[in-house]
Amino acid sequence: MGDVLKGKVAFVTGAAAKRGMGRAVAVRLAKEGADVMVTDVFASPKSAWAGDEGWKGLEDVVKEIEAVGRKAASAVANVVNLAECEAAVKDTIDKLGRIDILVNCAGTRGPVGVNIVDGDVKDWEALFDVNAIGTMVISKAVGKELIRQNRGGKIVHIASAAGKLPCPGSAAYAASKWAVIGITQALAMELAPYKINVNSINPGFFATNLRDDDATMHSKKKGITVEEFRKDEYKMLSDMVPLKRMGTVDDIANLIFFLVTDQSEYLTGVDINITGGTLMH
Amino acid sequence: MLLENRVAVITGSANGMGKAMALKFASEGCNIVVNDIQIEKAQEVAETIRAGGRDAIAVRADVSNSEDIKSLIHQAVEKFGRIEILVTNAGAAGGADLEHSDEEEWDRVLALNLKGAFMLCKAVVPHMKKQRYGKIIMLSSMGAVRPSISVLAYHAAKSGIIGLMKNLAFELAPFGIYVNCIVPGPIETPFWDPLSAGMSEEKKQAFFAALGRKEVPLGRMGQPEEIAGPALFFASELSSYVTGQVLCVAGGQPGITQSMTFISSPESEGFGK
Repeated sequence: MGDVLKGKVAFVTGAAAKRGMGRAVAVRLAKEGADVMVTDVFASPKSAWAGDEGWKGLEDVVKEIEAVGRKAASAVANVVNLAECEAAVKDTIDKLGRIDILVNCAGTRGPVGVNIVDGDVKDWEALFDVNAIGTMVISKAVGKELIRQNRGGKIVHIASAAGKLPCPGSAAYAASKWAVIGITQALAMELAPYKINVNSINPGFFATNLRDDDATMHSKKKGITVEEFRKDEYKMLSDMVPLKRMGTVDDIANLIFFLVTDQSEYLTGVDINITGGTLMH
Repeated sequence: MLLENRVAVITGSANGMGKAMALKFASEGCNIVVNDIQIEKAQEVAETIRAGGRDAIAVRADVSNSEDIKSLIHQAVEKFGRIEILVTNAGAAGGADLEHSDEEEWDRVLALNLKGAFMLCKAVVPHMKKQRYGKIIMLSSMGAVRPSISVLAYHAAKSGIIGLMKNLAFELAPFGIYVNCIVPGPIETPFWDPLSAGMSEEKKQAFFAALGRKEVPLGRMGQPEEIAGPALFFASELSSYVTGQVLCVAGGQPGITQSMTFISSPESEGFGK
C-alpha cells in the first residue's frame, strides 16, 4: 500500500466490469492512497468468463476499495448523459469532498467485421455516442469542477491503438477512438492554463471484457467454447506483439498511476501507446 | 521503492536532466553509474547519492569516443556486476542552418548525439540479454519533432535517436529489453547557456519566462526533475507493457500555441542584446 495519492480523490468511469480496465485502475489508485468514485452505465455488467457469475459490479468494486482502507462511492451514470454525469460529480464532492483525477474508462466496441459499405448508421451513432460524445460530456462535467476547485488536476482518457491505425471491419470503433485522441489534445490545450494535465492512452491487445461479445459470437459460429476461442485468439494476437504477450489490466493501472502522480507534471496533450511494442507512432 | 537494488548507467549526469534522473532513481533504491566529461561534478553527484544510502561511482567518458564507452561499461560491470537501466542522456546542441553548416561540424554533432547512443547500446545490451531484462531510455529533442530554430545537425541526430530507439525496441523486445525515448520540451538546464550567454541573471529569467509563456501550453519552462519523473516511469515496472515509444514531456508541445517559434523570432533576439 502506498500513500503517493493520499488526500486525492479519483473519479473512474466504466469501472464495474470484473475484467475491465476501470476496476483495475480504481483499485490501484486506492492502493496508492486515493479515495475513489466509481461509475458505470451498468451497475453489474455481464461477463462471458467462467466463474464470474457472482460478480456484483460497482458494489464489489466499492468493497475492494474499502478493503484497502480508502473511502469509496459509486454511481450509475451514462457518460453520454450530462445530467447524470453532473449528478455523479456532485455526489463525489458531497461524499468524498473533492475531485483531483478523472480516469475515463467508459467505452464500447460495437460490431466487429462489418465493412463501412455494409454498416448500420445506428450502430455508428451508438458507438460515437459512448466513445466520442461521452468523452466530451464527462470532460465537461469533471473539467468544470476541476476549474472551480482551482487546484489543478489530472485527466486520462482511454483511446485505443485502433485510434491510430486503419481498422477495416471496425471503422466505427477506430474512428471514435481517433476522436478520443483529438478531444484529449484540444482539452489539454484548453485546460493547460488551469494546470490540469490531460492525456490519453492507446491500449493494444488486452484481455478484458471488451472482447466478450465478439468471443461469444465467434465461438458459437465455430462450435467451440468461449474459453477455447479466447485461448486461440490470445495466441494469435500475442504473436503479433513484440513483447509476445497480451496486455493485462495491471499494465494499464501501472501507466495510469504514473499519469496521475506528480511524476508527470510537465506531461500534457500526449497519447501513449501501451501495446507491448506493436504500435510505435 | 520502484527501483530497489537496480543498477543504472546514466550518461551526462553531472548536471541538468541527467543529474535529476540520477538523484530520482537513487531515491527509488537504484545504484548509479554517474558519467560525464565534467568528472568533478560527476563525483559530487555520486557522493550525494552515497550520502543518501545508495551506491554510486563516477566515471569520466566522452560518449563520442568508442574506447571511452567500452571503458565506462567495463567499469560499471566491474563495480556492480550487472546493468538493468541505461539512459543515453549525454549530448549537446550544435549545428546551424544549411547554409552555415559544414561537414566537420556535422560529423562531430552526429558522433556525440547519435553514434554515442548506438555505441552505448552495443556495449550494454549483451549484459541485458544475459539477464533477459533491461530498460533503455534515450533522450531526443523537440527539434526532432517540430523544430523552432534551425540547428540541422543536432535535429538530424535527435531524429536519428528516434529511429534507433524504435528499431532496438523491436529487436530487443523478445529478450525482455524495453527501449523508449523522451522528447523533452524546453527545460531549465545548462543546455541553454550558449543562447543565454551574455545575459544578466535577471534577463535570463525574463527570457526563460517569455519562452515558457509563449511556446509552451502549460505556460512555463520545465524543471529537470520533470524529465526525471517520466524517466522513472520508463525505468521501472510502471511501463510494464510500454516499449518503442516517443514521449513528448514538453508541457503540451508540440500542441498549438500562440507563438510557436518564439526563440527564432526578433523578440527573442532582443533578449540577447
